[in-house]
Amino acid sequence: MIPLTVIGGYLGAGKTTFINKMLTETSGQRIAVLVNDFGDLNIDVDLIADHDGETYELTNGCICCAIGDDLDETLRGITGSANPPDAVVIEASGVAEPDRVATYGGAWNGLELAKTIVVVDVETITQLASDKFVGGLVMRQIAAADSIHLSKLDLVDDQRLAHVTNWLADKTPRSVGA
Amino acid sequence: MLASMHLRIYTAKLVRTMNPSFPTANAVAVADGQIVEVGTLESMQPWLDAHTHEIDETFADKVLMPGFIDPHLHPSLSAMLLPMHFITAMEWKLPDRTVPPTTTPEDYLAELQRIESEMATADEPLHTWGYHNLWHGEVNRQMLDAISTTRPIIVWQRSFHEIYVNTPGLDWSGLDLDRIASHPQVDLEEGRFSETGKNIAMAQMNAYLLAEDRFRLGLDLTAAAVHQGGQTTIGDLTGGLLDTDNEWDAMCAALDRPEVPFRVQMIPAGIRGTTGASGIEGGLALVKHRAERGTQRLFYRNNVKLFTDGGFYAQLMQVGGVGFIDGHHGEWLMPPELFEQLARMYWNAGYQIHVHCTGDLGVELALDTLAKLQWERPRFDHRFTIEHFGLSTPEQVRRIADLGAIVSANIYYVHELGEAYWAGSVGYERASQMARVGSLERHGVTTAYHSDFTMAPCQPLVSAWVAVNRVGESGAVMGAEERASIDAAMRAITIDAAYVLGMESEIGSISSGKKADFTVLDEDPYEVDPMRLKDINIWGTVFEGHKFPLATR
Repeated sequence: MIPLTVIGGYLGAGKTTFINKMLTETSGQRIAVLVNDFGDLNIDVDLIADHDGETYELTNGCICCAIGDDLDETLRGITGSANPPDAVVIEASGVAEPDRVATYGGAWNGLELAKTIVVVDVETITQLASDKFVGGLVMRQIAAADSIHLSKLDLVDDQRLAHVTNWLADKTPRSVGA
Repeated sequence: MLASMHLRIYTAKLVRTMNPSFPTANAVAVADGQIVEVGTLESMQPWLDAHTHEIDETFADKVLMPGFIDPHLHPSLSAMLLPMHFITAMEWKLPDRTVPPTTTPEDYLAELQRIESEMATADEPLHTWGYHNLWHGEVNRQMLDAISTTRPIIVWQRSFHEIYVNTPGLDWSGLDLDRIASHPQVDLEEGRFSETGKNIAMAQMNAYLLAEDRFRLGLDLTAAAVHQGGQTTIGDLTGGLLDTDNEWDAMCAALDRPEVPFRVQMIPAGIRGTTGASGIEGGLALVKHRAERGTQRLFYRNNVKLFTDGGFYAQLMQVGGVGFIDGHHGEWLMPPELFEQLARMYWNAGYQIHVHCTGDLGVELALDTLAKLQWERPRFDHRFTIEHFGLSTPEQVRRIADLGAIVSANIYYVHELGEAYWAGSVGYERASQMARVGSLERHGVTTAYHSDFTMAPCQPLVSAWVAVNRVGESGAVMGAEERASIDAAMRAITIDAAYVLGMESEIGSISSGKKADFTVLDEDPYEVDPMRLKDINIWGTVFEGHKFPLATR
């Protein structure tokens, strides 16, 4: 069984930066990452071994695919591959409920849900949480996380960070890290 | 207008012009597809003295109305569905058949059995559309195998979210069963394919569903259905749905013919082409590019469609306040920020924006965005249109009026879903107020009714009947305070629908200079018992001056 990690978080939370780091700093694991859009992905050109518009192959053995319109086809390609990766990571869309993506991906034969990581922008999260359109969604995203990754720490001071950390501790029992 | 022309004068028992300044008449003079003069034979005498003319008394005992307009449907979707066998909870009057309501699980299977036994060729696939578990109970592979172990049977759920197939259907589909067995939304044992599982099955069946001959048959049936409803103009509100060159060619081949008595305004989806290197600007470029093509009957104007929340039949609308009875959540079809960026781009480019909104929170997002855009760059006569308008609040209706927005409502929701959503979605208070067209009328908001065919029958008199009476499936009135007046209802399928399409100077009323499009009725909608509105017999239509009688059955 290949472990599956789902990366959730609202639009602009910093999912792509997190994934970039994951891809380039892996210690020997060959990870297949499924992203919504290559648009903001900024992979170091020295790391790219090959790319064909839909898939990037990295020199460290990782691959990165755009989900496009067909997550099924992409997952089928990976689980049916002769040389399957060590781990699969799916980036959920900014308006997706990560637990739905996790339930769905984890039900694939050959995949096993390992965890759901939700990326939280410390600068905007408390305001977003009370937004009348996406506040409920953002709180459900946080509730669905096995762990929370804080992003954009450089944009806030210590007082703000402490405030957000306390606020999150109040909302979820999950581990919070940066 | 030519200096000399030949006039055809249609006399009628009554002409309902839908021009409030000149509401009734009993003769219309027409030349070259255009209305020359409306009035009486006496009042139009100066025209008759000046030009050769003939008097056509075909409609001497009929009522003429402006050609009906449905500003939001999807010909490509109905082209896929109409060749199927309909088994539906509601009655459907289609050009080639009238489908009686089937409302119990037993009757559903009996009807499927009957259709199967009457099919001519033994191995022809049986595709049926309209299944809904609220009425028809459970369906699975074993139950379908009991109907036939040789013929492929494919059951399409009413809202397209699921299909069920029997064992021969699995074989016929050509799906690699070993490969898809692991898919979480495919249950081979039950023969059930839902959501993305359904997409996989559908992609495999597209070769059959979109085959040239079948698609053409579907478009011809769609054209017949549009004619049957008395419509002379429709809006394809993601024109086209598939957005391929093949689709455009097929639509032109089927619909841009002298035999077709209506025109189609194509309104493209503004979300296409917005990902990738070009960013959202790619969407604007694509919309402009689409507008470069067009024929006499299929054309683009200055409109674009955007989306806020999920489907109404699928219960994925975004609902504010206390939400759904069962606690599930609706969905956003795009992040609100992206919706705002796209709306701003098209707003600043001068487009009329049509927004698919089904739940009250979807409406709220559209209105908040419109308020921002008005603050940044005020526009008058922008015709920002709320499409569908399932759930809403009275307060939102006032904002719609204040912001200068207009509405194109799927009023049929009240009839088919009013009671179902009372019992199984949001409860009585909100379900009874869905598609609150009475409030819109009281606030003077320009309002059209649409079918979103096949979400509702493309029969404007049925829409008007629902709006005026608001009777649910059982016949009980749902939300009496939200009933529309007969005049508002008739405007919503004529002049106000023309306004939603930006065509009110050309169509929508019977007055001098407009296109000679008429819907010919046996009775006056303003005088019949409102409960009989949908039963008024339609003789046929006149399209650009030419008579198109409906075949009598």
